[in-house]
Amino acid sequence: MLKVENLQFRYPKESTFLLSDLHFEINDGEFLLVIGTSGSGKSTLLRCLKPELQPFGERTGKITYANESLEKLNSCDIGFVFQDPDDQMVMDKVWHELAFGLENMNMPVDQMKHRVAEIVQYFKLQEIYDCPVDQLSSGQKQIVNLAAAMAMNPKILLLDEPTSRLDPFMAKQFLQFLKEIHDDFHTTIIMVEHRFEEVLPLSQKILWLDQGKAAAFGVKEKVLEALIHQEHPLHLALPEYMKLTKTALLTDKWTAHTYIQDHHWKVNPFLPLAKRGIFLQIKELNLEYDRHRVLKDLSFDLCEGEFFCLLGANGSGKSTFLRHLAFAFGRKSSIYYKHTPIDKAMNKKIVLLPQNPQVLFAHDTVEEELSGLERVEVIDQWLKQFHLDGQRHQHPYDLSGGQQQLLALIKLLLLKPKLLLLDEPTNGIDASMKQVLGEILTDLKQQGITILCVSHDLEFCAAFADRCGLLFDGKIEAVEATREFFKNNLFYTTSLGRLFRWLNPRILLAKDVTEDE
Amino acid sequence: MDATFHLADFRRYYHPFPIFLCFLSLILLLVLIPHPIITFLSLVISGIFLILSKQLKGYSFIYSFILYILIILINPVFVTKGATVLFYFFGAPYTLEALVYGIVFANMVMSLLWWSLIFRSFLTSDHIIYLFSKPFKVLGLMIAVVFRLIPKFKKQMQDILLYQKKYSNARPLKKGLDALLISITWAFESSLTMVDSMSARGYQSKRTHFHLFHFSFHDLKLCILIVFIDLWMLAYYFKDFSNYYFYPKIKPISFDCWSLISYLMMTLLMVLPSCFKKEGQHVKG
Repeated sequence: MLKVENLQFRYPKESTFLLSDLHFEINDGEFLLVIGTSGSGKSTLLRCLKPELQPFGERTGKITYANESLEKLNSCDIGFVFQDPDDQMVMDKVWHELAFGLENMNMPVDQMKHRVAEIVQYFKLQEIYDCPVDQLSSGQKQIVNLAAAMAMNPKILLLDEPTSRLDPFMAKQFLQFLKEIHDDFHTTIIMVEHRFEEVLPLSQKILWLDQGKAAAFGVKEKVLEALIHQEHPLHLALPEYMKLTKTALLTDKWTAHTYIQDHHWKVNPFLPLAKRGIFLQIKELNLEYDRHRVLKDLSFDLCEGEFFCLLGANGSGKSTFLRHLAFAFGRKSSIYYKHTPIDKAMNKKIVLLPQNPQVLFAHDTVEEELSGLERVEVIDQWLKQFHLDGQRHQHPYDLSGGQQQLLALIKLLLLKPKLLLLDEPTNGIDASMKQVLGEILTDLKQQGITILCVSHDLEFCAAFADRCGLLFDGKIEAVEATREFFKNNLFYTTSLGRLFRWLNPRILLAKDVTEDE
Repeated sequence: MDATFHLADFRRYYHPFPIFLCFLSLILLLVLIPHPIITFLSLVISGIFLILSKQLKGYSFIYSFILYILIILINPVFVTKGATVLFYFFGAPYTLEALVYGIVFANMVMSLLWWSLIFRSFLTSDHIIYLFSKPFKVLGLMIAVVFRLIPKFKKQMQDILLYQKKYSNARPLKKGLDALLISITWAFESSLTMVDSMSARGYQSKRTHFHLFHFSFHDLKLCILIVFIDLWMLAYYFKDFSNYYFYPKIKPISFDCWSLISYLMMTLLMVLPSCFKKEGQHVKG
């Protein structure tokens, strides 16, 4: 039994406590889901639960496991899986990564071989066992990280937003393994996650952290009930069907199906798609990556002032496509602006927001990052609009993921672009930040900037995109208005879309329907 | 290496240690003995290895050839000893002996380069990490981490450079420096997570090392053979090879019984790598 009593924590030189009055307990083998908005202290709490990662600062209170201080446990008894699949890997080959923890435990080589062989079988890693780590996909990497943590046979497993950088399908696969571990080994699991729709069926208890305090703790239905009946920004993170049905008893989609079938619903009118002229044309683009032919005779028309979302599985060539659009010009680029091949001047008007916005930061404070690019009033306006005014004197790396993206976006917008390309902008940011980002993009669209976004976040695309397309087999297929695009999909649609197929396949989000009394 | 000749039963997977020992002895002996026959054999055999494994082709071959000719021709310019003068080069005698020494030296340098290439293809990162882990535990780990980080940082640096080139208004030199600065800052940040990951799994100085290598009887036989050849060559070196000279006149190459055996020994050492099987390179799944 893991007990946390009166836990308080603050960083040195800070006046406010990041965590305060935390008091909860978890039984052996329970799955605890920790939810909360950005900055509520979830990651800090998780790190306090692992002595090796205890952040430096003032901590009071007691954390005990089986009535003994947590420090008495070995490092192998508490496993930790971090958010970024790539950054947390240490070794160059998969087998070595799996054995890393065991080596630290001074296990004899024979025993290690036995354990590694077991783990490879359990997590189905036979094909990639001997692979260099940088050749794996993000999903595979995260599963290897999970396997590496489980190889040490921990009593408690802590996970810090493990699926945030994975696409929906890989996230599902990861959670499947987690469920198997939970069922087979009865490990105590504590997981922090923003997108918790898929995690809800696995979890038993929920801890809702609000600004470092426990807003609610208990059985999942109770906590969700408390959340649903309160006006709180975290509402946005709820599963779409829960926003609609407003009942916490539906913690899995199967019961949601039955509930929805039993009630009457009214479909809200949809906005029609505005007519737009063509902005950019791509004619028969062929691209290679790593000697693979990634794009095959791709032809595509991008309309002026629209928000286009390009969907597709990991590795289908979306990033390669974006980089080509951003950096290529001239006759051989296959990109045409007003029927002529795009030239360098026009290419300067195309900007790309990378998946990792840190590649654009070259200075020590937010202010310095933006100074000199524009008049001070204009920069002030942007900072205010993006809610970054209070962070002027912070180091860009100290900002949260979403704030870093917005800062990079300001930097790019100061170049007065005509086309804005976004590479997975919703990776790793929470629901309210996604909403802010979406509203900002809609605003920019109305100012005349064309937006092309690559994403696998179906809810985001459904909410903000005008048209969508699917990148498959090197070509962009099924280019349609958003609702038409999703209407024709059986699998690749929002979860609410699947629940409401029978009523109207154009329904994608909670705001599309209201309950008919 | 898809060799066209099959030494069927001779080829097997060997432990990294004998492989390392073989190449080490080869390279050291080659540097020690500047004998025409030895260096010539070395060049020919390493060249055959590279051509058969298709590592030497096209442009790299042309560059090697140019370098080779250059070394040969440059030596007599600097070394003016020697009895037979071919012609006068800017007042200094260009001698035949110096030219011949140039050939021998060029053979040595060229084959050293080629042997290093072959060495690298046989001894992969796994082997090197293992070899260094045995005596120096932490060093092995560090090498593994370095192998992990190099491709990652390289990719990131290319990305950063691309963005700086396009979006920065500074001069090209400043762009490059900025890119370097950003790369270093980014490298530090991402390493923090890696360090956390290591401490989370209990990293400490006392640790065992996981490996999949097994030192078998065949490896021992190979080690003994290599050591025997080394000792013979060293003995013969002190007896005869160290007395070999080029100036003022080239000493005639002896083909008597003992020296013939020595040449054969050296050839045997050079041909040994053909018995080593390479682990298959993994193809992306």
